[in-house]
Amino acid sequence: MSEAIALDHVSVGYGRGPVLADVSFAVQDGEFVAVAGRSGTGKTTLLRAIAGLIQPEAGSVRVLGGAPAEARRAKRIGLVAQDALLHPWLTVLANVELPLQVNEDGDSGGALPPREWVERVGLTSAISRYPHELSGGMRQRVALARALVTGPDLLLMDEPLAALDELTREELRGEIVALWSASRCAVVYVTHDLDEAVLLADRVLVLGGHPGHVTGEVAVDVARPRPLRLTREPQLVLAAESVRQLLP
Amino acid sequence: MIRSGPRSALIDIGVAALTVIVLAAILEIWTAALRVPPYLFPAPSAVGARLARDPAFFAGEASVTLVEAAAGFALGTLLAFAAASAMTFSRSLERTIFPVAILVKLTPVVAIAPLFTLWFGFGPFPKIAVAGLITFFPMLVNAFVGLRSVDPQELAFLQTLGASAREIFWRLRAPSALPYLFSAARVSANLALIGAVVAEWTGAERGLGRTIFVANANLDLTTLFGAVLILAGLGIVVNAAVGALERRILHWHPITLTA
Repeated sequence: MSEAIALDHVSVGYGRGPVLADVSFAVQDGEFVAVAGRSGTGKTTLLRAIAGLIQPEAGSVRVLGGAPAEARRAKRIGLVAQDALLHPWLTVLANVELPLQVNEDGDSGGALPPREWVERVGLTSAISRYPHELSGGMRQRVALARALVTGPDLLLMDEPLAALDELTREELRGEIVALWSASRCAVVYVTHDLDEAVLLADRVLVLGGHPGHVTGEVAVDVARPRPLRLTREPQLVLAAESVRQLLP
Repeated sequence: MIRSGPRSALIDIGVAALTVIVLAAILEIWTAALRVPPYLFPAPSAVGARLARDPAFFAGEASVTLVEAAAGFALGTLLAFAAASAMTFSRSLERTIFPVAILVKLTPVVAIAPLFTLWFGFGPFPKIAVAGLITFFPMLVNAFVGLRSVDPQELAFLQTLGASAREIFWRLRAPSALPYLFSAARVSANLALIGAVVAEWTGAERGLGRTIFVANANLDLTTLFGAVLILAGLGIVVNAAVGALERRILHWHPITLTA
């Protein structure tokens, strides 16, 4: 197994002091890693650095064996944000097709055609609808299908469920794990919800402090499929408690 | 209550027509009661009769003005969008184009129009140019703001896919700028009509501006008011047309959804 991501003593900032300092960690191919931490600890900045959208002031970032820009050009990175970021002027299907249409030189060898991705996230009946006609949960499903349509080797998720109600979150957690199991891409899942982090991830990295740095990590050695709620599995409750104790 | 597109347009036209009828009735009573001479203020019924006597004449003149205004509007919009696009790609172009655009904006149309007639003759081009000039600035400012006002997260999403600057422009910036362009178009489309009319005053063979100019010189106020009325009608129709187009193209935008 090789490394999907390798960060080596990375510091990142926007010109007014570092937001992240001396961050080092690796994510293996096919691994699901959650990054948990309080608001303002640089979690989103970390994802931007991994995607190569912001250059580190110090240290090095390697993604899928090369520079992040190379992985981007090859369309090997998928992104799901808190806001679904769908284009309001495009239908559900057109939104899912979009990643295949831009940067046509990049690898678009997704496992499934867009229509099947829409079906897989359960939105076939809404395939011709526009984003304003969808609920928040449906919009995030479209965003998931859109992120996976190119068959990425790395999926970056930035609090994708933060804006949804609890029941929809539960439902979507299950779907995220199912989609990840089928694709086996590496996932970096940023969240401030500690329960969600241990429910989903193989490993939880805890980010804290100012500037943000990795304060520790917790391996979640609980077999899958896991329950949808933390309270049903004592080991998950213990893991969440360990994560909580690592928060500064 | 949420109003549907065509129904909302019909209600708008109905309210406008009713307002005009009420206003005309008041003016009719006023001119009759005070015996206002027609060379000072013609009765609405006289203006109506003048329009009814020669509808082909007014329609012909209106179509000339409308074509000039539409061509000028298209030209001004096209140039403004091109300039705004260039400014989006380059800060130095932004610094170069903006001061020139402000200079153009500050120069009064009434000062420019005779110059254009002097340079380009009595044909349609000077009218198109003046209509284009008056359209240019509001379209430029709105297109520029629209092209720049994209959600940084959406930008990051496309960049993550390795999208080129050109792809980001056409797939994100241009559609995001559409609501801004329509806001500007609502103002500019009527301005273009005024631009064409003002340009016709400075020398033209046809058009509503020319009709108003000649009628004024002859103290023929019924024709003058008839032409002004037709011009106002054109303005309402143009505004409604822009609105209808906006509702059709921006069916996904909150402006339309909450209208």
